Amino acid sequence: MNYEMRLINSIVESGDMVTAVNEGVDGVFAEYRDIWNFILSHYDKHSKPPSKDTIKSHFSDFEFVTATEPLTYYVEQAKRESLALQTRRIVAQAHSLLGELGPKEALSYLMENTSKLYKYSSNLKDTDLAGEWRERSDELRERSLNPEKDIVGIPSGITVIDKVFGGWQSGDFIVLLGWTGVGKSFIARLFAANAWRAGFRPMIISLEMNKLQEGQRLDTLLNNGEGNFTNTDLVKANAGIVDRYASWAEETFEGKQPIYLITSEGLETADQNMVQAKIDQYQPDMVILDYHGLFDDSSGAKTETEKAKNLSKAFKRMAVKNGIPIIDVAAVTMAEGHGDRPPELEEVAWSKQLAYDADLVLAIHREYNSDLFQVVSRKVRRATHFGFYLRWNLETGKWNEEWDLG
Amino acid sequence: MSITGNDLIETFKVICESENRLFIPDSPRQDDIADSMVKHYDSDDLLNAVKLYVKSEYGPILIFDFAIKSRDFVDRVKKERLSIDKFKQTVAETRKLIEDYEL
Repeated sequence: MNYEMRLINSIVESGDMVTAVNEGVDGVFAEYRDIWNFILSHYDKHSKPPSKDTIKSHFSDFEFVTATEPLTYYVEQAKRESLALQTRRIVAQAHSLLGELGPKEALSYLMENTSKLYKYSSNLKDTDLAGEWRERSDELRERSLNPEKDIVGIPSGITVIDKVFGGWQSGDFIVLLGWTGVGKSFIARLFAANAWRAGFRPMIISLEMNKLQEGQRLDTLLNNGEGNFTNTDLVKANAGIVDRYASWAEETFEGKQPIYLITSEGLETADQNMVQAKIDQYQPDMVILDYHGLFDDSSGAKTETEKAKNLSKAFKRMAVKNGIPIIDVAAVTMAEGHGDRPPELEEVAWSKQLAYDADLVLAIHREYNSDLFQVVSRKVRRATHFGFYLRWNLETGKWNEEWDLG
Repeated sequence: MSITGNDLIETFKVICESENRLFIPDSPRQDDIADSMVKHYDSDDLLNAVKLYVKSEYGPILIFDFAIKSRDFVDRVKKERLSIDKFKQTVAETRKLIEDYEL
């Protein structure tokens, strides 16, 4: 017997529309979609599901059976079977595309549709905060005994972010804003390097630079002015530092956890589905997206602002769903005659969406050719606003927080 | 600092020269306009607005044209100033916060 039919029988018999809707049964109906829509519409008008007789009078072919199990049993069964059916359809369609159009198209179809299916298969997490007080109390006790108790998440390496904001926490969506060319990507890589040093696995999706450039940038950062080499040495392949680099790299990277890098070389589409697929593939501890404007939007936005909004919403949900922090680099269009200062939130076209989604918005600025970075929060969800300077030699990678500019 | 209408006209000439813009003398109309503007606006904001205006205009420069748009340019200059001051203040407050935290 069809699982949709069993579920409809159970809903009508139990009369429990609230549970049915809260459990998200809407997605499982395909063959009996018309009957389900009829039940929904009846419930909207009369605040109760229709009787069997009423359904029979509209859908004479529908078969009624006795539902012996509780409604949740049929909901789970229907969800499982529906998921299996949809998975089979996607795999069959991908197989057919593989033969007709080639592997890229088939893979693109698979990524897009499996990601949608995954979203459908995972429920929103419901919690009873009053009933779970003991868990919070235990977590607080455990954290209070930790010497690094100020940091609940992944350390950023920046004192104020770690002490006041609590580092990068699970589900955080952090946006780095700045005019073009001020060094937003450098700051994002600094966060990745500091997380990696602390034992975490960052994943950088870079649509702006290639693998070689990314490697050179990250090496310089991790070198942190130790005098082994400079960024120019790496770019110009200075023969004098090759051995020094090799021994530094072996000592730094050998036996350590990975730093995942995804560049756009060979990528046809880089949208939210691709990001989710890469998270599924590598299971990183944090993700850096560079940069927002270069990502495609799979939900079909018609304008750049709409695209930016859709992506912002998608990345925030992704951070929460996967339980990881996502750092998103976003450029602000330079207005005529803007000053030498970090941009304000309202200078971003999608500022309202950003205000909803982001847990932290950091505005970054650097005067032309200066080694002083100005960083200030424009939105903070769980702390007071903060600002700081970073003195940073991009050539050697050495950086430090600075407060007194004399 | 307070400036006269004549100072403002001279500033226009100097900035136009440094930015390679054509300044069109417009006496006696520009003298009254300049006097009126220096009375109405804060001098620092006005001079910064002139710099911003001359940089953003690629055609010939007339003080009359600037006067018409002056409110907008002065507002933009003020907004920039406020944003920079606020940033410095936030950094100072953060520094204090960190010091308190470390005590």
